[in-house]
Amino acid sequence: MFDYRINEDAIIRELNLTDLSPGEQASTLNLIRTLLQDRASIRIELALNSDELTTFNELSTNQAAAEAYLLQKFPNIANMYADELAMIIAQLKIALNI
Amino acid sequence: MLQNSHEQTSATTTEPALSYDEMYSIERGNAIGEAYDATLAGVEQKGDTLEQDIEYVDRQIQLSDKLGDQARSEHFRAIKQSTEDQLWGSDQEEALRVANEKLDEARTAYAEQIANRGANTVMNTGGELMAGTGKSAFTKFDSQKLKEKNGQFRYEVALGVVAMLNEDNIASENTEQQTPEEKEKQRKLVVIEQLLGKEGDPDANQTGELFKLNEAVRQMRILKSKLYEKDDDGNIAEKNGRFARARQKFYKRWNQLSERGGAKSWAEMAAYIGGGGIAAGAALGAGLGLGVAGAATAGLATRISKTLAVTQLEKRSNALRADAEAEDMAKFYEEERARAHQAVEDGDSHWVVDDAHGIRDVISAGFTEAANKQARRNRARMAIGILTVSGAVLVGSQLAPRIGIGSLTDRLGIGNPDGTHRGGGNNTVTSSTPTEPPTTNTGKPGTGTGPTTQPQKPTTNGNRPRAPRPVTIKVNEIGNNYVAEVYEQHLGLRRGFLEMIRAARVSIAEGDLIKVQSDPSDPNKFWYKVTQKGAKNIGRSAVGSSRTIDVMKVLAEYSPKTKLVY
Repeated sequence: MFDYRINEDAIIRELNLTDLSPGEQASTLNLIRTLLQDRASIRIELALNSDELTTFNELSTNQAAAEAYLLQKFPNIANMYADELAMIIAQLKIALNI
Repeated sequence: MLQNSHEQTSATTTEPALSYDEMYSIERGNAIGEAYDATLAGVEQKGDTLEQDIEYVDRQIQLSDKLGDQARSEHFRAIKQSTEDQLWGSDQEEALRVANEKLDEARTAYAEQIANRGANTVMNTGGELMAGTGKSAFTKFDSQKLKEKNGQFRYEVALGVVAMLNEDNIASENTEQQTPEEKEKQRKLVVIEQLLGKEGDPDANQTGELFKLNEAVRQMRILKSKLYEKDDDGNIAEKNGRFARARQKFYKRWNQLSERGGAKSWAEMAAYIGGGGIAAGAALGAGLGLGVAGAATAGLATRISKTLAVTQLEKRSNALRADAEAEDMAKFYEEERARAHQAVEDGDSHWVVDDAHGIRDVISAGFTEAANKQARRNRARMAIGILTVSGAVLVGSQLAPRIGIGSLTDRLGIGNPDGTHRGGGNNTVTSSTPTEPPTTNTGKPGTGTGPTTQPQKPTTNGNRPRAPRPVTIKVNEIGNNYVAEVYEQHLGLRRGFLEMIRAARVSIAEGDLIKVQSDPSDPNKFWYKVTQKGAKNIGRSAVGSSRTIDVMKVLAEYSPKTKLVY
């Protein structure tokens, strides 16, 4: 899947998790990263038609080729990730009463 | 596979008129049934957890009965029995005893929590996105149902409630020993784990609520693939005629979403398709996919009897989200009214609205939809109005801050801005004993300058006082209308009711029109009507989220039994 880098410091600040230990922060960020990839994969799957999905699956054994294919299909893929990340953060903020 | 998601076909069907959820459930249930066939045959089990499987199989039994397929029904009953035996073993009595013990413990703690905080208290039991905190569990406390052999689930529910209380630092020895900073940190970690699961846990994607929602979306995609397929010429064709109704619903919502400019995110799309509104929270709570997400969208009205046994009125929740039909509306209204009346007659009953945010969403969504949804909107409003004035506990709504209970009390000058206390001697608490009804605090008035209400006494001849003449306060011109029926006895004094209207005048924009009149057929009830100018131009937020709900919060403020739990 597309390698999207999250701004870890910003997320910690945004979620007001500075009082968590470094390990707890890292764990939380990892979970967010996993969730983000999970969501992105769903979003991409939903956007691809069956033929495109087949092509992507065939390419997925090669990380670089799969990423290149996604970038070709979705030039704005970084924005897609950013949108999903924003949604995750928003949901977490609500749950955390921030 | 469907290539263009917005394409539609016009196929019709003569298959049984099963609902979308039912059809979906059949598919799911068949898969589980097959898994259990394998289990019974001694093959490795492939199903989900036993508790989940029992639920699914239960649905299959109901559906089989509905379809009149006795063989299928018996087949699933056998599967259920086998599963229950696996789950329970022979120690059901002990499990039930523990479950009841935990329920009592949770009930007491919950009641104390309410009593300690007073009326209209903000109780953070989680909100729409805080699934599994036990909010709904509280509404389902029913010792009778515990005896119906599904105690394992109830037991877990009870534990969930206790956990919820612990989170809120109530009835928890451990948290009492923590510093405020430690408690806050612990709270954050609990929330994170609930939503994201636990790192390193191989089942994190099954425990984290946000991951569960992902799964719901995946199910949606699978469903979509079930509905359509390409024929040999590459054309999109309906795969199976019996899915026609599901398809129609699916694309109806899909297209509604498209007309709005598409989904902002996958979550919104899933929520919209799942529930016809912003039902993400419901989907999170259910974690089971589209059908459940939709079912959880609307508010569930429940009534608590003397023993706090609760019957969940799921049909009413479905009625709320069903397409508007005048007949349905009248039926729903009559039922709710009858129940509200009965609650008062009982004298010791009140209501619990579970997922009150669902009602709110129905209202909000209603304003974005076509005019023929008016009945649906009215139903939702009436439901809130009736329930609040009849002493409802609104659970899991995040309603209080959104409708501005605190800010209202501030503006009206009748209590503290945070809504924790209302002046004028009208502060209300519940007994710390859960078997007793809420009582009115007749202590010293607060520092606010708001109106005072006292319980209304019947007249000497035993009849209730006559309703006042129609009262109209001009605050606005006629535009959007809504009607909520209120009951004099719920509001205390007639005088209190009029004060409520005056208060409403403060909270509603100057120029609005509020009309109050008694019902000719029943002098004990009032019609409370608010009309506003140019609803179409005011916009959704002004009408749906602010002004009309302003009225509701006034009702809540003046309802002597109302608690707001969010």
